[in-house]
Amino acid sequence: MTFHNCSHLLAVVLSIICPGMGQLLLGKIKKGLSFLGITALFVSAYFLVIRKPIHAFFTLSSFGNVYDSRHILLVGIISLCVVTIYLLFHISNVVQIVTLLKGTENKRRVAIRFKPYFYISGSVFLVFLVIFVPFLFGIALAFTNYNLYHSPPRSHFEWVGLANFTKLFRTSSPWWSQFKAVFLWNITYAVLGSFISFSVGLLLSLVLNNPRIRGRRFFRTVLFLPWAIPSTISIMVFSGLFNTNFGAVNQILESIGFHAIPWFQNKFFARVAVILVHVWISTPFNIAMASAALKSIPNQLYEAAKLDGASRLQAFFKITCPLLMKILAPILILMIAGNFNNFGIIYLLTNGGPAISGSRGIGGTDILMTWIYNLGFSQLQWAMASALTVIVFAFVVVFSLINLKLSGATRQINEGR
Amino acid sequence: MKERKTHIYTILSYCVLITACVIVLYPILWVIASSFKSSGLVGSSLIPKNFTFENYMDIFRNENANFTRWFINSIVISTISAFMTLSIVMPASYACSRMNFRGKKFLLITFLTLQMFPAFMSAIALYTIFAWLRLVDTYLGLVIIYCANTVPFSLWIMKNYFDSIPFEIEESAFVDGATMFQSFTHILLPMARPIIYVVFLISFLGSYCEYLLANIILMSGKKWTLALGMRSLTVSQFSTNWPVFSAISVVSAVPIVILFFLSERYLTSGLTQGAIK
Repeated sequence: MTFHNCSHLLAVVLSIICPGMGQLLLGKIKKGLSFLGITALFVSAYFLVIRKPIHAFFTLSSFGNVYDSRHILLVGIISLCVVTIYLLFHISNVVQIVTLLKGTENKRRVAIRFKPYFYISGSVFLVFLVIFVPFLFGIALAFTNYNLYHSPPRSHFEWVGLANFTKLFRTSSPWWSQFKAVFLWNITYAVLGSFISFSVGLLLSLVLNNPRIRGRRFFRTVLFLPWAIPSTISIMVFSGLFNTNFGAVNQILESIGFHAIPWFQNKFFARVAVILVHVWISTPFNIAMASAALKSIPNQLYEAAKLDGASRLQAFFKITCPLLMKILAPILILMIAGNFNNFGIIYLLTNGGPAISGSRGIGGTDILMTWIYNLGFSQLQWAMASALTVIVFAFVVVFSLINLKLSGATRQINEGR
Repeated sequence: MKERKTHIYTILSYCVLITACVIVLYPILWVIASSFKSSGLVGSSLIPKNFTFENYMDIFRNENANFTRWFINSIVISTISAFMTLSIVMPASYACSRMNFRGKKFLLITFLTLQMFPAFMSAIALYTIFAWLRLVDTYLGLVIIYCANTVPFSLWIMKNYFDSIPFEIEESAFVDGATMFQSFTHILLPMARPIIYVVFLISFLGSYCEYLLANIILMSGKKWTLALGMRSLTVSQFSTNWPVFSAISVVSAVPIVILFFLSERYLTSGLTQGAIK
């Protein structure tokens, strides 16, 4: 990058010091003034409002009339968000000046208009408040000692650094053995549950796709019923069906000569029940997915294969299978990630049970999310619960990155209009 | 030989389908049958011995079960959150589809990722924040959460749908002197009717019988939604009254099932569309 003269260098330096000055120097009066205005607004807001909460955030000490540590944390996070947004603005302002001077200004450069920002503001605000801020808040809590003994408003909590995580991952601590047990079952549940319902869904969609079958519409409607019924209701109904004493499943088993199965008293059977209910509920979605994928395979491929003398089995394994897998692989990842936190079934069906002796409160079907929920809302171990949540977040991020890569969503946006 | 093989395939297919249907239908028929059984143990049979409408009469007059109240609460909350989702998502997806602006790509990617972080994952933080904002134990709090939960996914499918409507039609309207708002209300909205139904339904169905978030936000029994109320019936310390519970399940599920199948084509394509191109 070469600067033609001193004034260009001055413009860059000025824009680094104060956004808007550079634009003014280069004769972009309107833009320069509006940028100056934004900067002035931020600087005054910083000294009048934001500075104290940010300071309080790092020390977790009270400021003004805010004494509750949780509120200090929250206001601090929001203030830090404001600062981050300003910094992004500041950097983009410098980048703008530099591209302007280099003369390689993108021809499709987007003029700043306020209308689109106005249109998206509702969604952004809502998602910011309900998903993003709680997300940051949860991460922050994981580094504090917020628990029964340090619980505002009676008391206050402090930063403890990585203490919660070292507690969790030190192999000698009871937390580690609990975490290991819960995590292993969580993975098994997510992978096995998704995989079984995926295979069943694929099989059923292939069968439903067979033109020789009569009454396909009827079968399809029946098979879609579990999707139509609110899942909360189905899960509660299943808790009755699987009831050890009066449940219909055991009565049927006994009437054909088997023993009654202690569905919710035995760890293994409770896990089987959870996965069975999961498969019952989520198979229709998988059928729909697989059918949509099957429809997207062009028919010409099969015709060409037929001409070349391929048998139906060959066509299935050489055309249908690979193409289906290519389309459905990202969805399978997405489903595994979703199931990793699919906490409704376990919470409503077994509530994490059955209790296992010597495991300090975790049950045979507890997954990370149910464990977190109980740690927080019934044992008031908020900080530990948040540390576990951070681990879950990390997992979901990894899954979603894989999915993003596989499904090519980024490419799609780049190619979009 | 080939003919016989095809026959075996067909027979096997029927076997698979019929088995699947039996597994799907048994729990459903069992609940329906149980709802007509007289109270006590419900058993596994699908035909009630003493056929009675008593349970259905019960749920509408039982003072303890407050079924009507829960039902109305659920309907009101999910309808409001569906309308709110629509009113927030429509302009946003219009902007994302028809306008170019700085940060659009970032927004879309963020929303795509956030879709995988349902609100209950940060339940603890959410509870703290909403307690401070005094939104705990209010309908508004729950509506806001439901709405935020559906916004990212809805924005994506709606943007994709708008993308599939050619821009030229609107352009010609602009040439004729229409404003952007006019072209939105007069051209795009009528054409986008299917996706509006889909977003409305996804939002409605998602919140109608939601349990976990409602359990965090709503405390007092008067404000309970269906899911909370039904749960309180199944875990009550006294013997669970399955026939009454079954009747409630049937009454709450039937409208949803009808709604689902009336809009099945739209709905299933909407829900699978996000994933399959």
